[in-house]
Amino acid sequence: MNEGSLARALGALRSTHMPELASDRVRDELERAWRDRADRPQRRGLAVPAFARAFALVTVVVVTGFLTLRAGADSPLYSARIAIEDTLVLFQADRVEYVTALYEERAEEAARLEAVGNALAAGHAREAEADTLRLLNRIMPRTEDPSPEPSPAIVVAPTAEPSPAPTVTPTPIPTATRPGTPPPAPAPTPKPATTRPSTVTPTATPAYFTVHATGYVTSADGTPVNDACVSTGIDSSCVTSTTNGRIDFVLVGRKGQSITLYVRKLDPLTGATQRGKVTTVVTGPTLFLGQIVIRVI
Amino acid sequence: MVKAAQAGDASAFGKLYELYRDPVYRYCLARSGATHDAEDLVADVFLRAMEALERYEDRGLPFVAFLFRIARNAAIDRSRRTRPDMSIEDLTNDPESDHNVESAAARSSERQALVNAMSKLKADYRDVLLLRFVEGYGAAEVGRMTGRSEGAVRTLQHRALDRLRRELDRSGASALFDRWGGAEAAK
Repeated sequence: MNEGSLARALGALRSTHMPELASDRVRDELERAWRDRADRPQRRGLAVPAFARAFALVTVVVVTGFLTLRAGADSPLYSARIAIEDTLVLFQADRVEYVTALYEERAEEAARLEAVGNALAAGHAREAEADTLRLLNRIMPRTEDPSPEPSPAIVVAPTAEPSPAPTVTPTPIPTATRPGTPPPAPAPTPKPATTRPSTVTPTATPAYFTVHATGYVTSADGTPVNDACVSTGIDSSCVTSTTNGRIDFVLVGRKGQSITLYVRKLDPLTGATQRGKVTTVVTGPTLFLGQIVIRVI
Repeated sequence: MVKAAQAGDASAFGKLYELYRDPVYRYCLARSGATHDAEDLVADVFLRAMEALERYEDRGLPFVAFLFRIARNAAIDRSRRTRPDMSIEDLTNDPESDHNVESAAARSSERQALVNAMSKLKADYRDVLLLRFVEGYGAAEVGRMTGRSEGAVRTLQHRALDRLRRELDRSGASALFDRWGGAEAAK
């Protein structure tokens, strides 16, 4: 059986017709449906051409995307914006640069919201900032740090600041003590209005850069503390945690910027939280935090 | 006639039905493989066409292409609801049937075998065979109706015929068509 004979056999099907009886039944059905259709109220006014619907859909998507990417921390779209921006990290040629810029942007936004007294939105922005810092630490290529032993303990002091909003302490709390040295003058930062926990910008200084920070956390008896939470606010989420007492992470800062880091560790025996903090100034791409002793306040 | 039906002329729609019921019926029959299913599908197709009539735009394609597209969707919807009924039901109302009972029975068997085989083909294959050989449209026109190039239609048609032949071989029905290669073809 070749193609020609099959084609001819198929052609013979053309003589197949619908049975008249069935055709009459369908015709009756159609006539009924036509009458019903004529009786129905017309809805011509609501008919929207397909291209208009498609255009409207695209417009909605574009506008929503635009609004989302411009949403501030006080907007319900902020979490969507953060999620989109974080997802875009995957598509960046230079992820570190992109995340650094993100961190800078979120830190500035948090500072701005704190300055206007919007604590809730500022809290969201701070969370996003801390998340960005954690992300940066994950993606930042690490180099072995040949930092020396932390012989001179730099800063350690439990702080009794009751303020729920993480603040840079403008008050002369005795937070830094160097053994064998005169009592230090706690870095007087003359900007009490801004309440950023980790980064203070005393002057409008140059651009941010990544800073590799290292240090040690010990308990009062000098034992290295494992799994202590390191954060940029008193009780904010951890940006890193200690491993055998060692802090090793990357943050973003500017030259001359004062950085305060908070360390806390829940004592499982007593249920009390041991706390400590360190304030230091960024001088270059490496930042030695020294030894941080944590105590129950 | 289409414009008149769109304007609400019932008799114009009736004429469209009379004009296109048989091609649609053949399409539905090839799709379902059973006459009663095909009849129900024809009703469904024209009811859908009635509802969609306002949205129909003449883009240079025959109106039957619009109906075939509806028929295809209706058949898909129907096959989702019910399994295809492959009953061995003779095609009735054969205008070619003559007084020779043997000859009429042979033709009926052929058609049933063809329809059964076609109902097992992929939709694209079935469509191209129906449009090209049953309805007699040219390759270029079928291409415009199905959104393909003429060359693509010819390639598809070749594959579809090959597939149909294999389906007939598999069902043991290919011997029924021997006459189409000889005397009948010459006639």
